[in-house]
Amino acid sequence: MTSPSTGPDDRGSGGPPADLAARIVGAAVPTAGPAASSALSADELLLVQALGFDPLGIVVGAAVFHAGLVGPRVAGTELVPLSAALLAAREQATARMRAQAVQRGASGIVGAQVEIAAFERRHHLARVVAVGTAVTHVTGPDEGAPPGRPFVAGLGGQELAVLVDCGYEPVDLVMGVCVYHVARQRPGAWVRNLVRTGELATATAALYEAREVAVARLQAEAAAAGADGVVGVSIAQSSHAWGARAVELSCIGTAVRRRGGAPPVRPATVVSVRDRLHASDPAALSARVARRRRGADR
Amino acid sequence: MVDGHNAEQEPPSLSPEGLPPDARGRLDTLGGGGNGPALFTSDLSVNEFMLIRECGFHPRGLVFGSSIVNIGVSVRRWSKNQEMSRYTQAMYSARELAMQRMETEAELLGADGVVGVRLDIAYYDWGRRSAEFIAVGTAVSATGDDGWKTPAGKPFTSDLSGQDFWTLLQMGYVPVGLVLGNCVYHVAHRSPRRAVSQVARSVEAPATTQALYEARELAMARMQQDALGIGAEGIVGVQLVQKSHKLGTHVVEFLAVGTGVRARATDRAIPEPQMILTLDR
Repeated sequence: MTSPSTGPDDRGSGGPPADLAARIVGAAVPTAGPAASSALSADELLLVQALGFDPLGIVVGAAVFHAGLVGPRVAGTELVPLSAALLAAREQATARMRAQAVQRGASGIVGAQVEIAAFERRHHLARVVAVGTAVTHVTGPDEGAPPGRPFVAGLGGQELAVLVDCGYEPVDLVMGVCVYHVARQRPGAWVRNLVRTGELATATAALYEAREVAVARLQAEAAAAGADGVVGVSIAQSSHAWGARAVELSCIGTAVRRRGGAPPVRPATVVSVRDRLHASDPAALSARVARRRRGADR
Repeated sequence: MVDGHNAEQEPPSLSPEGLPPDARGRLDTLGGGGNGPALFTSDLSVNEFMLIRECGFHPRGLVFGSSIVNIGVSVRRWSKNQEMSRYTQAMYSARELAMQRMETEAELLGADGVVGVRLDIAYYDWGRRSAEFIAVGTAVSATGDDGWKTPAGKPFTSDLSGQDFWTLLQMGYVPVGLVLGNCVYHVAHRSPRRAVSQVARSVEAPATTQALYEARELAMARMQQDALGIGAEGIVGVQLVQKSHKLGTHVVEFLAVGTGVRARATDRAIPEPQMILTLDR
């Protein structure tokens, strides 16, 4: 992922949040010229333009969050303040990215990515960065979207083209987070488990529950955004800070809405004339290209 | 956004069918409850989504199951090739539990099957001797005719991608279930004498070869047995993976996973494939 070079380095400046927001939204917004930057590859650009969109430039949103101390660790429960902080950080970063897009008169953002870019474990700071390419529709910025609210799609150009072909349109990036504290085993159980082999019911229940809660939140966001469904959901689990027993489950996906009116797509069966090895392994491809070059030199 | 759903309360426990308390509520909002329009979630890519819809299915929801297994110590003979049956059993049943729970979620949704099932393993720092087995997939329902469920009346499961699922259906086959077989094997150490005598020689280590060979065969045989048990006619997309599970250097697990399939219509023929030369690398 690209680092937010257009955004200020917002760590350590200590400015008030309002100022920060103003800077992040206002900073480095060049007027959309003929040479708008975009993170799209050449073929993605072609497909996006075929859908009637023009790229306006890369939009970035960042948020640094401090997660405060959590009270005494209650056995096997959700760490609600941490869930809220991580979710808020992601929402905030996305909102700022969207605000930049609105400022440029975009009708949407494609290829959006939201991730935790850095985590200062010692200071409990999470830096979340959202990046995407703002696009505008030839018919005007509000095509298909409510005014002032461009769509956000975590999809590349190819995926967007297929989605529109099947009669759907992207609505928003939706996410859900749940940080869960996995209870310690009681000493007796710990001793028994040295030799016992079997399921750990409490730990299973805790993590299974955390995953359900995270996805339920994603679903609630999608429903609130008026979506018909969510595609490309990915679930990630990590332990960023607060110790190994606090497991963070986060999921993100692109909410989509039915537009209708699209004729059914009939896929054709094709045999691709290229080596399968190279399709899956770019290193092998470049090695082969290098070998050929050496051969040509001789 | 974040509601303290069960803060400062009892830790959650699994219901008799193995689901956590919030699972039912989540699945109800996916259109099972009857209030409001149906929503679907899926981890399918857009291409897969398109293909699934094209062959007469629609995604219903992301379903998953999980089981954390504790791996206790087990005796192994230093110089002996042997299967570690307790570990084999524990890991097999943990995967089965995770898959069963995923299937239960799919059943609660009223789905006809689950596609794109992934079996993941997660290790955590807080449990040195435990591993979480996770099954994740997208539950799908047929739009038109039925008869997609397994002979046992359960939703089918399959680890095929949307593309492979489409191709399979074009051939007139349907998935029955994910089948797996595993074998945790202890590979014997060489005796010190042999190790010394072989320092300067490059020779086959017959005992090691045989150990790995046998472990692989056992895993495959068990997978085939699994497929026969659910009434499959064949297995497609078999993957044979080798894992060490932090059980030491001489303990390996072989896992064979594939999708058991059965014929549904025999008169289907796929259209003549077209040759294309792609321009992307």
